[in-house]
This record gives sequence, C-alpha cells and structure tokens, in this order.
Amino acid sequence: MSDNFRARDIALKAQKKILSRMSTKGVAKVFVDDRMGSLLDNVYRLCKTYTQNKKESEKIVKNIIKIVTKISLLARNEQFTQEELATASDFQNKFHKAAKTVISFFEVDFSYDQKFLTQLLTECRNLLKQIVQRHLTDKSLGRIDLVFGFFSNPAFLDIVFKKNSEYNEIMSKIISDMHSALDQGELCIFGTDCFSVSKIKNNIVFNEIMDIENLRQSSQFRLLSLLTKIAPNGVLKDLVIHEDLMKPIDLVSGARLLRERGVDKMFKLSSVAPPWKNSVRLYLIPSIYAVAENVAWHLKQSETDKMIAYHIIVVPKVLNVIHSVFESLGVLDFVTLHSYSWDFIPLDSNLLSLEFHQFFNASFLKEENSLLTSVAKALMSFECLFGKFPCVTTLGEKSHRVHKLLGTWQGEIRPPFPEESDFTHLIMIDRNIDFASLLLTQLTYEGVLDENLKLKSGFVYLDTDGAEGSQRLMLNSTSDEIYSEIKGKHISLVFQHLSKKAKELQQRREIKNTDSIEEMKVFVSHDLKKIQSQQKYLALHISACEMVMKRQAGILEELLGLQEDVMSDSKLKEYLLFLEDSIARQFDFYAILRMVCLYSVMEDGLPEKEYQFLHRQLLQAYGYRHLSTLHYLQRLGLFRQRDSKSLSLEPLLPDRLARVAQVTSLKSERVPFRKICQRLNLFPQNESSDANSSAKSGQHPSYVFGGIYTPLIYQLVEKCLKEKEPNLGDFARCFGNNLRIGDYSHPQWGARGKILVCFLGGVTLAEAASLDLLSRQLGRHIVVATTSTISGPALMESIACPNIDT
Amino acid sequence: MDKPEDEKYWSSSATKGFDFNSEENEYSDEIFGATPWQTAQLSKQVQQQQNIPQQSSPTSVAHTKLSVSLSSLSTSSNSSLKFTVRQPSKQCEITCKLLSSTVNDETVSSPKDVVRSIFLGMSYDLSCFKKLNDKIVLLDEAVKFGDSDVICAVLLFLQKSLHHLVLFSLLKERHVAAREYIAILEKQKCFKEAAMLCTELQNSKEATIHLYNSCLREGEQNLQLLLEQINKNELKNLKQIEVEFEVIKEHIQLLERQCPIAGSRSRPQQPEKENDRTSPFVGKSVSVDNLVGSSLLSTLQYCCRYNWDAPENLLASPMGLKKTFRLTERQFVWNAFIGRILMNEDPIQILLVKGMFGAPKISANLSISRILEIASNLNGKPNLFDQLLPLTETSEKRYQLAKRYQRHRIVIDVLISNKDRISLLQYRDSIDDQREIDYINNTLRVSSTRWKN
Repeated sequence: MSDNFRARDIALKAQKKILSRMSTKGVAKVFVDDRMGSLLDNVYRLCKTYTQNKKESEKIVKNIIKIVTKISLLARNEQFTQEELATASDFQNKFHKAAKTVISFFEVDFSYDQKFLTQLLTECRNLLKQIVQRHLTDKSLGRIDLVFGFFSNPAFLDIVFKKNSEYNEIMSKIISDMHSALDQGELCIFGTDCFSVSKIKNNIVFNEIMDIENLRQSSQFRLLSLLTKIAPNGVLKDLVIHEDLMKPIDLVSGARLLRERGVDKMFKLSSVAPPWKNSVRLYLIPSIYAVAENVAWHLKQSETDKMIAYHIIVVPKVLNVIHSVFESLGVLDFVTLHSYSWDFIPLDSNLLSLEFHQFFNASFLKEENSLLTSVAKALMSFECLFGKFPCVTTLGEKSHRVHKLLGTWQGEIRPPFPEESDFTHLIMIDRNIDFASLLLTQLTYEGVLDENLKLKSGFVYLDTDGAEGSQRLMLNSTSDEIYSEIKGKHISLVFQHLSKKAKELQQRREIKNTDSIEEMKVFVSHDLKKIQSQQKYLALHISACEMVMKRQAGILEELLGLQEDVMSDSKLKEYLLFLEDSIARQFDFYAILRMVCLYSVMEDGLPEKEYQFLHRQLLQAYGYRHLSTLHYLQRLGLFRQRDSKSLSLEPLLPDRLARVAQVTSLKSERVPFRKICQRLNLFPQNESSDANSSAKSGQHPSYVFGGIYTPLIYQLVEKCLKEKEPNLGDFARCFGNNLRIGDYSHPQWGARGKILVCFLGGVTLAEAASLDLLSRQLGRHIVVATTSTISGPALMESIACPNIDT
Repeated sequence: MDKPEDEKYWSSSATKGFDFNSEENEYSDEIFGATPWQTAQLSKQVQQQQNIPQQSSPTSVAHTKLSVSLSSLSTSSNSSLKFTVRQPSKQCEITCKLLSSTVNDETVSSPKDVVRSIFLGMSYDLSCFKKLNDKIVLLDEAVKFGDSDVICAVLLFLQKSLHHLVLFSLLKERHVAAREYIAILEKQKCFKEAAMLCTELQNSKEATIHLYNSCLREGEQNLQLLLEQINKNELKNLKQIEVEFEVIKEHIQLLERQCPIAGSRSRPQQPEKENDRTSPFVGKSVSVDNLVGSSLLSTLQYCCRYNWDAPENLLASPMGLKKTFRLTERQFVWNAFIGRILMNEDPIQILLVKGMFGAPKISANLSISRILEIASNLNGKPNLFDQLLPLTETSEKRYQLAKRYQRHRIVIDVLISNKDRISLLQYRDSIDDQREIDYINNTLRVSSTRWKN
C-alpha cells in the first residue's frame, strides 16, 4: 500500500517537473479554454504597457500559468483534502466577488475604490496559499505572492482604472472576455490574470467528470505548438492545406488561432503553386502517398532559394514511404517533414472521429496497416485524458492488432494516466465483420442525409454540386436543437416533427408579441434570437429533406422492398431479375453495387453461373475498367463466387458432432453471414402485426434499417455489458479467434462506467443511432469513436475510383 | 595526388615492363611529349635527388614489406625494421582506423533494437544488415513487432539492397510483408513488378489487375495498344484468368470500334447542347466527345441514336454490336428504346414482338410501368402510352398507370368496362378536356348499360 502511494507521488512530481518546463500559454490552454488564451494575451499586453519591460511581463504571465497548471494537476490527481476543498470554495466566492468588482469599477464611472479591491485580492491570496501550502514548494508560493503583489499594487490599479488612459483599450477587451464568460454561465470568472486559478478551482469543486471537449483542446494544443516550433508566432507563414483536412482542422482549431500563430495566407492545395507571400511555407497534407509525391515534385521544380523554408506537416504520420519519396527527389535540403496526429475529433455529442478517410481502403482492401499505429496512439491519448480502459473486447483482426499496438505504446511512452477510469469498457470492431450495416439503406434522418448528401466532417452541402460558398448545414446536436431531436428518428417521422416544430416556433413568436414592454425587452434579448436561429435551422433541414426526396422519389420504396426480400431469403429470382434489368439500363452504379454485394454477402457468395453473369453484365454496362472494382469487391468478400468446397456438412451431422467439427476447424472455417445473423438474433422476429410501426417508432434497434436487421454492434455491446459476466458464447462460436474478450474477472467489468465503442474502417450513422438507443435503454453513456464515418454509396464510390490512393 | 607518388608511378611503370623491342610500344609513346624511356630517366634522376632507393617493381615491394612485417609479428626481435608502438605514423593511424571500422561492420546490431528505434522514430541504421540471413531476421522481427510502417521501412531497405527475385522468394512465405510490399510497389507505380510478385504468390487474378491498371493509368490515348501488348506478352503466362482475359479482349474490341464511330460523325459547328432529358432510372447518355472510353452499353445507345440504320457490316451498327458482344435481348432493347426516344423517334417497333397467336407482346419481358416511367421522364410522345397501356396485364394496373400519365380515354374505358358509374362521374369532374367529357357523357347516355352503381 505504502509503495503504491510513493509511486504515485513520484509520478506526480515528474508531471509537475515536466509542466514547469513547458509553461507556455498553450499548455494552460489544455487545462482552460480558448477565452483564456485571449485573456492571457491581453493581460500580458497590459503588464507590458505598464512595466515597459518584456521580461518582467512574461514572467508574470508565466507564473500565472505555472500556478494554474500545478493546481489543476493536483486537482486531477485528487490531492486535496476535504478541508482544502472547502477553503477552495471560499476562495471561489471571494474571487467571484473580486471579478465582479473589477467589472463594475471599469464600467460604472467614478466607482473605483482602490483600497476595497486591494483588500479583496489580499484575502484571495491568503486563501489560495492556504490551499496549496501543503502541496507546493516555497518557490511556488513565492510565485503566488509575486502575481498578487503585482496586481494589487495601488499605483498599477490607479492607472489602469483611470478614464481615457492608454490602458482603456486593453482593459475593455479583458472586461468583454469576462462578460462573455458570465454570459456562458461560467461564473468562475476570468478577472485579471490570476482569476484563471479560480477556473481551475471550479474544476476541482464542480466539474469532476472531464468533458469530451478536452480531446479537441489536446489536438489543438499539439497543432499550435507545432506551428510555433516551426517558426515563432511573430514570423508570418503561408499555409497550403489539403481539401480533406480543411474541415477537421477547422474543428480542431479554427482559423483565428492559426492566425495567432503567424499563419498569414491560407490556400487550398491544388495542382499549381499558390501565390506565395511569405518565406516560411507550410503544407498540411494527409499521409496519402500520391498527395505527398505531388507536393514533392512540386517543390522539386520550384526554384530553390536559401531564404525560403518549406515545412510539410503530414497527418497523422510521416510514413516511411512518404519520407522516401522526399528523400529520393532530393528536396530534403530545404524541406522539413513533420508528423501531426490529432486526437479523436468530436463531430457530435457522442461521435468521435479520426477522419482518416483512406483507412478502409488502406487496411481492408490493400492490407497495408500503417494507420493502425496512429489509431492506437489516439486511443492512448484518450486514455491519458480519461483513464485506462480496464475491460477491452476486440472483434476482428485489425482491432486485435490495434489493441496490441496500444500495449506497445503504453510500454514505450509510459504516460501518466489518471487514477480513475471514466470509461470502463473499450469495445473495438473491424468494419468487415458487419458489412450488412453498410449495404442496407440507412433509414435514420442523419443516415439518409449522409447517404444522399455526403456528410463531410459533420457538414452537408445543400447544393447538388457542393461548390464553394453553397449553403451548408452543420450537423451537430449540441448547437442545433432541432437536429438533436430528429437525427436518430426514422425518416417517416421526420417531416411530421419538422412541421410541428414550425408551428410551435410561430406560436412562440406570436404570443410574445402581446406581452408588456418589460417582458418584450427580455424576450427580444433572449428568446427571439433563439427562435430565429431555430427557424433558420428548420428551413435548412426542410430543404435537406426536399433534396433527398427529389433524389429518391420512386426509387427508395422499391429498393427497400427488395432488401427485405434478400434479408429474408425470399423471392431471390425476382431480385436477380431486378438487378439484370437495372444494369441493362445503367441504373445508378453505386446503388447497384450495393445491392449486388448485399445479395452476395447474404448468400455467402453466388453460384458460379450467377456470378459470371452479373460480372459480365456489370462490366458491359458500366465500363470494362471496373474489372478492378469488381476484383476489389471480391477481395473484400463483398461480391464473390461461392466456394464449391464450403458446402457445409453441419446440417447433416448430429448437433454434438457438428460442434466438435466446428471447434476443430474454428480457425479456417468461416461461418456464413446468414448463419451469424441467425445465431446472434440479428433478424428481428416479426411475430406481431404491428412490427412495422414498432420498427419506425424506434423501440427496437432494427428500426434504423426499417425493421429488417439489427446492427451487429448493438448486440455485441449489449452482450458485453451484461451484468457480471458477458454473454458472448454465440459470438465466440461465430467468430472464433477473431473475438478477444478481456479479463472479465476484472472488478471494473460490472462497473457502470462509460463505454467507448471503436470502429476500425468506419461507422454508419445508423449503427451510431442504434447505440444511442442502447445507451438510453441501459442508462449508460456510450460514446462512438471511429476512423471515419462511412456510408454505402461513399464506400462504393471510393472503390470504383480509378486510382485508389492510400 | 602527392608529387612523390606521382613520380613513383611513372618510374615503376617504366621499370615494370617496358620492352623497347616490342611492337606495341611503338604506338604508345610520346604521350607527354617524351618517350617512356625519357620519362623513366627523368624519374630516376628525381628519385636519386630524393634519396629514394629505386625498386624493381611495386608488387615486389609489397611482398617484401609483407614478409618483413609478418616475420616481425612472429619474431619481433629478429626484425630488421623496428616497429615502435609509441609513435605510429599518421598514415598508420588512419589505416588502423579504417581497418578497425571494417571489423566493426561485422557486428550486427540487434534487430529487436533496430525495429524499436524505427517504431519510436529514432535514428537508425540498417546498413549493417548485409547478409541475407540478417535481413531475414530483421524482416521477421519487424513483422512480429506489428507496426506496418516499421515493416515498410525494412522493405524499402530490402528493395534497395536485394535483387527483386531474392526478395520475392522471401516474401512468398511472409504474407503480411508481401501485402505491404505490393502496396509499396503500387505507390511507386511499379505495376509490372507487383504483378510478378502476385504471380509468385499464386495470385494470377490480382496480377492481371495490376497489369490492366497499369495500362489504364497511362491514359486513353494508347490504351488499345497497351492492352494489346499485355495481352500478347504477360497475360499469356498466367493461369486461371479466363474471365479476365475475356474481359480484356472485349475491351480491346470495343476500343477498336469506338474511335472510328466517333470519327465518322462530323462534329456540329456549335458544341452540342447538353441533353437535359434524363431519368433517374437510366444512366446518362454519352455525346460524341466522351464516346471513346465509355461503356459498351453507352456505345450501343449512342449507335442506336445516330447509326440506327447502319448495316451490320459497319462498325457502328447496333445489330453488329449486339452480335459481336453477344448482348442479351434485354440489354439491346432497353438501350435501343432509350436511344430512339432521345432522337424523338417512335420506339414502339423495338418494344413489341409477336407473342403467342400473333398478339403483340413486350420484348424481353420489360415491365410496362418501368417503360412508361422512363418514357415520361424523357418526354416520350403520348401515342406510345396509348399503344402500351392496353398491354398491361390487369385492368387495375392499366387504370393506375393511365391515371398517372393522364391518358383519359384509357381511364374512362377501364371504368366503363368495370361499369363503375360513380367513379366515372367523379373522373369527369376532375378533367377539363372537353372531348373526353363529351365521351363520358355519351357513354352515360346509353341506356343499355347496366351500371353496378
């Protein structure tokens, strides 16, 4: 026991040490937020204007950061006693008061009272020192004195609060930051500088569970510090960014923060060199060989000027093949390569994505698995924020490899993990385990939008061409209330909901019109804005619906009927006839490929004659060049000829013998998908006549596919979370060695922590919706993490593309 | 080069074997404006000035030196030359260093450590893995480690340092590494090599795809030629690729036709107006500009539009295409139908065949509702609907379709034959075509009809 404690102390000491070496604004941002960054900037300027001394001002701001980070560290590791926490609460109140005082003094003329404020600050200082005395060195306590001493200096306060002084501009910025903090309900107050401490205090007392948004901040911090490392913030840089990375980078940091780091001009990567302006030039590209090669050739041909430095930032990693192309072209003399890997990016409240769109084709199609390491790294980073996963279940070969690599990373880096695990379960699954969820038509609102309008990092474009500047809709349930209500709904219920909402909003507007002036003022300043923004969103959702309806009119219904037939193994002749007929008139290629693949997957491959026939028809209708497309589909097991050997003997054998036979051939024998569906109960039992309506109402997870199929992941997670002991026998029988179950004697297995479900190769939004349903049913928090979101049409499009770049 | 050494060379070469009597020498003298004998004399002089004893030949020097040093090793006391340990000459030091570094090269750093260094992004050196066996151990260690980028780093090293045949034979037994290597080759656009490796791995189908893709990558211009080349050379040696072989042959045949077809039609002065008549149930039709490279059925449809009457012996003949490529009736009828409709021609002859007892029947069993749907999307002429609707199997369906496409007379006739007076009255109120209204009124006036309501 005592050993354990000592180890913890050492780890803590190490962390403190590390932090003290990296006291930059960026680090502080990991613990606090954006506003904090701008606040600290302004505080710095304030100090500098006052002292006229760069060094001293820097020291003050650095000290603030050091204090903040140290306290936050202590808080995270739960080092404070109850008593100290109580004191912290006192401090919080005092600080609150001090901040309000500062605002009032600034905003209300002639109200400034120096003594009052000085006294408040002194009280704050004493309380704070009392809290940390037991934990921090004298040096740190000295820092607190220094900071508070500076800000409660009467001469300083006098001049800062003087009307029309040169400080007015900076002060008004600081005050406005504080205001916006108050507006957000974050009463933890950013006052002058040291107020940041109270933000951390707030964390200690009120905010025990860390927010998923911290992931974003961690990615952001790494990106921004990389930019600073490349060239100091003062040096202007040009940035060329690959199209695929624009949205993710936007989500990670936003343009404003990039500009703060000296990014001047930003260009989209194209085939011609941009009109450069500055001599530090950055490229931000994904780790796709063809892209890197193009950039390398570009730089090779550009004139070499010793004054110009090129930096290529590769997401997530400068792979060895990529390094080799830069080396072989001899451009490394003036080009520096950097790796940047972001953490899981929150796309929605419960959806995290790495946005590696090439992952599926790289890993599953080409079997080049370089990205697995980056996924493992992202998971480790996740663990650093939320604690280690005590229980890990993997289904699929890639998942297993990622789990192993995660162990390797942990062993090599040995990062400090939080003691408590927020997430008790990690359940990882390979995309190729459940192709049906990809091939069937998704029927949730968000799924339909993705299939028809191509979701891109949380955005859809509402013009057919998706050109620049076209109307776009951001699909995020935290910012869009209407979306959060309809995203998981079956599409047949969406329009009803939207029209109800429209009426509601109209009514709310009209009722308010008759209110008194006072109420009207409140209404105008609060409700009206909200109503207006909701009406704006409403209009966007309605036009999205219209676009989908235009595309699917007369088609969707027929396809759904056919899908139902193939899932229930009936009317296959008609199914085949439909395929033949549609192919002959060159009906939408991707839709056809999905249907062909669904047929093949459900039938465990096609008989030779049918396979050859469809193969020929497809190539004649859509072009011989798709010979490779069909080959790839075959390699993925999506469209293939049935093995003549795989005629299973199982039905002929008595049950026990069959089981023995299966165990012996567990590794080699692949269980046909239809059999898997039956064993795992993925076909809903349609006993009652109102199956259809219950499907649509969203009571049963199969509603996401119109009641004909339950996503496999739903069953897997549900079985994993069975109290005490997971009930995975059926899964083991279906997947043999592909399923690896963690140690379920682990005390955490039955604990009711959060669950992270990680998809390698992409998740469909329908699957995510089914997990949302499970989350509500079990009353447990399930978060979906994925390498990217994926949909059937998008997958087919990427495979049918002439050059599959990975 | 140092001067003394220079001189040494000249002198030694002169002494080594100049034979003034030999014939050869007569050609090779006076290169430097002096005969070899003259230079030899000069060098003798110079050497004498420097007090260097003239030696018979460089090889003999080495021999004597070696023997001296060897003897000195065994019996140092007897040595005529004195080797002092304390004061090695500068040159000797350098030599020693060189020698010792070659010795160091023999020691191979542990593959495990190297693999870990690659994984962690530390600097590493693979040059010490010289022996084949060391390379194999390194590769296996990388595969065992599990990080693909590490495997790639090792493979890139092996690519540079092994003959590809040797490398292929290694990869034959290492599936994971082989897949990574194929991916690397694809990226480097070495499709032929990728194909060779696939053949080694008994995967001739994939080999074919690599070869085929390599042709497609080159662009449309030389595609036909390139395909013919791989057909003649590489594909011949591959087994079990009958399907692929057939496809590539058909592709060549199609390309042989497309160019002349596109060329035969003189391009209109103004760029063709983009045909905006589309249907969600059919593919987009091609124009003369993108005919080359389009699919077989698109080409067929094009020919049905512009070369409908071409005799079978012409390349652009639709019937010729059908025969050559063994198209099904369904493929042909659909595309002919769409092609004719787009040219505003009457497609009815294509759709109808004589059925049993001479009654007209839809060819290839196409669905009437689908035909009508497409015809209405593509602005087909009304008389097509009038001709096809009577062929629907049930009157109920006929009624539905007729109502949908507003063929009033047919709707009315169905209602009359159903003796449904009320529906007829309702329908009369819903339309404003006076002729049809009159028709309904006339029918209702006939007293002999026994209405059911």
